[in-house]
Amino acid sequence: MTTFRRLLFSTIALAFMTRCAVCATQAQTYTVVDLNSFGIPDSTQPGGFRHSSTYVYGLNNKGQAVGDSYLQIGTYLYYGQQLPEYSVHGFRTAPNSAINSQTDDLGSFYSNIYYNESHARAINDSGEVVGWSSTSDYKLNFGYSERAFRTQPNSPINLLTDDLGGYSQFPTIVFSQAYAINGRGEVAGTTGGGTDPGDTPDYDKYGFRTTPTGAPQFSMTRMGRVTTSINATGQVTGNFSSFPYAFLSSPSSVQPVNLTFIADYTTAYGVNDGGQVVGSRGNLAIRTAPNTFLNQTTDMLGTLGGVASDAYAINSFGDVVGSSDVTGNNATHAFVYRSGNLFDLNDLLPQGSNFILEEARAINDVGQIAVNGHDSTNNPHAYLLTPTTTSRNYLRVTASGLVYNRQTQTFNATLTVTNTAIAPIYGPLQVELTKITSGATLLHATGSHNGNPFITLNNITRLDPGTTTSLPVTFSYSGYARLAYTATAYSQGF
Amino acid sequence: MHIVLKLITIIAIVILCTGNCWSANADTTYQIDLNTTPLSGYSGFVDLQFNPGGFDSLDASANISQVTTNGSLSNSDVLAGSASGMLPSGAVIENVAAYNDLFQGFTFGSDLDFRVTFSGSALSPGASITSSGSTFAVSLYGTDQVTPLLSTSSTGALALVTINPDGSIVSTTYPDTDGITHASVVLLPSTSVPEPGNIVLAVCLGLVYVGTFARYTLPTRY
Repeated sequence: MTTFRRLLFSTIALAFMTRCAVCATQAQTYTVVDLNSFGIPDSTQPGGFRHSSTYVYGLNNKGQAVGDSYLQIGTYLYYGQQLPEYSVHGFRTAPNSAINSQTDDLGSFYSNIYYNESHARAINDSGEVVGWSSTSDYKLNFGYSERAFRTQPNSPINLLTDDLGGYSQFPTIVFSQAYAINGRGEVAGTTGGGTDPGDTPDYDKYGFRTTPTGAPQFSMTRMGRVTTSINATGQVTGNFSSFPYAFLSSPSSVQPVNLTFIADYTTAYGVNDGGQVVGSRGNLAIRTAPNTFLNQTTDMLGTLGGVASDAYAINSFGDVVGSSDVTGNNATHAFVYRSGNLFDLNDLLPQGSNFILEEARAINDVGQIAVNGHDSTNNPHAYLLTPTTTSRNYLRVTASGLVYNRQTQTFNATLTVTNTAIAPIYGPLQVELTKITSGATLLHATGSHNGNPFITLNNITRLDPGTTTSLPVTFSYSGYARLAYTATAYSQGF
Repeated sequence: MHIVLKLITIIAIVILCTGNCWSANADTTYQIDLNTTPLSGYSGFVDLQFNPGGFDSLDASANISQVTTNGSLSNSDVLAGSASGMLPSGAVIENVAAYNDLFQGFTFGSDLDFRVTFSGSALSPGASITSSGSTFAVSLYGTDQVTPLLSTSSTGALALVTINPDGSIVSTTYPDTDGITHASVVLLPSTSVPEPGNIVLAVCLGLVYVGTFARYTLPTRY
């Protein structure tokens, strides 16, 4: 190679490496809350208990997570010995917190040893949780059944108010399960039944969507086999029983219900408020464009190097989470798909994290992600990931010139905040002004930080890469020298 | 290719790629027209400001010219900061102080039109890292000198022209309480001229390149 070519290639390589380094440092990272569990008494463990298996399935915009965790519900007599009886209960955490066994247990319809099980699958911003709980079929007064529930906001399951009922063509035993709830309280799920307790339950025969709120009377809309998700307008997505198609329904304001076929050989798991559906076709994760069929060229999300992937949830901004086989197909890792890129969430954790994230089940509109995985002892754990707040390095603030208003006797300018990162930055944003010229005062400040005034932009929930937001600033000032200040933007607090 | 010629080629490419040294420090001119018909026959004031932003605005000046109106401008004005001149003959406002202002009495007619030409390093910041721009504001005030006319803007202005930190320029107009906009701001075609220093640099670079090319590529005659 000649000297000239060496120089040329070296320059190109240096530029490429510099670019990659910038990309790596700008990837969104997360802080992690281990949701832990209800815990199980265990005298052999420090503290007298051990963490039980926990799985998370839903997350609202306040950071409240829901799912299932194992616990001891009592004891039973076995050849003269009292042995522990275990079950699983749904949980609902406080915002951005691990499970508190004293406050977060949703309980079940019944608390006896035979019918004492519940599963939580989704939560809306009001704190209403849906799922299903074991019950005794009330028509025959015997036989195990499962019945969908919708709790009151931030309350445990109440048999008297929360039973959504169900539907079966032969309604001697009726099963139902609820998988999703929107902000209005409309619930999507599945139901079915059998003719006697010995029958194999066909509880997933009919998909349903309930009316929004009020008394938990059951309002059935048959629309396929399983409905898995519901958005703000009442559009539900799901799958047919007789052939492997996924569908997306019309909003609840449209009657009768229309169904749009998404694609064949497809399973739909989630839908956002814009009508984008996620799931999988064949073995590969998908995300459709709003309210339309799957485009098998542009809507396939790919994998983390393995052969298969599934997309489970999507937020209002189109960010998708799910799971994927990794290279070699010897493990499954959780992913987030954003801005055309598939990221292994395990690569975005704090250094020294000693757990594996396997399956991301939910993502909210502030970018938090609920993930299932396992800890260093291979015990199933659930985790809540929150985007880090180190984004100020990527928030650039520029200012217009100042304009004096003779009527208000104020100087006015417009600040523009730009996200220069390659990942979204989540709000609320705060703009702090420092080094303000002596004699000048920022008017209408939200508060003070380290003695400096700041303004909070509560209306900004998220700033996508390359996008901007503006805010006016007003000063009182009567000096002659330049009115100077420095502005710095922060996301989600200082 | 000979190593000397290669090096000169690389230097030339680097100079050209780094860009802004070749670009002219182009002035930018806007035509600003105010429809003052609703105020026709009344007295008031016209207010022109050109102020820097909060921290590190680069230098710029606004040259106001070709002022026409069928109203009547007073024979005196009040200047603040780095402003000079008078309408309709013309004025220059520089973004030096916090407040650079021309405030002049005006018996309104149906229009007031003028050109404003921006110049200075703020228009071609190059590699300078700045965070604040400068804004030219056009306002009309009533006889009390404090009541803005024909605008609902928080600044009281009918039109703003802002030079951004990157040298780009944006204009904004504001409506009155009836939703009617009385100002128009139109960018006039550029008449940029390369700076003399850049012309000399280009000629010298060309001569060196041609000379070197001849030295190392033409066959040697014995």
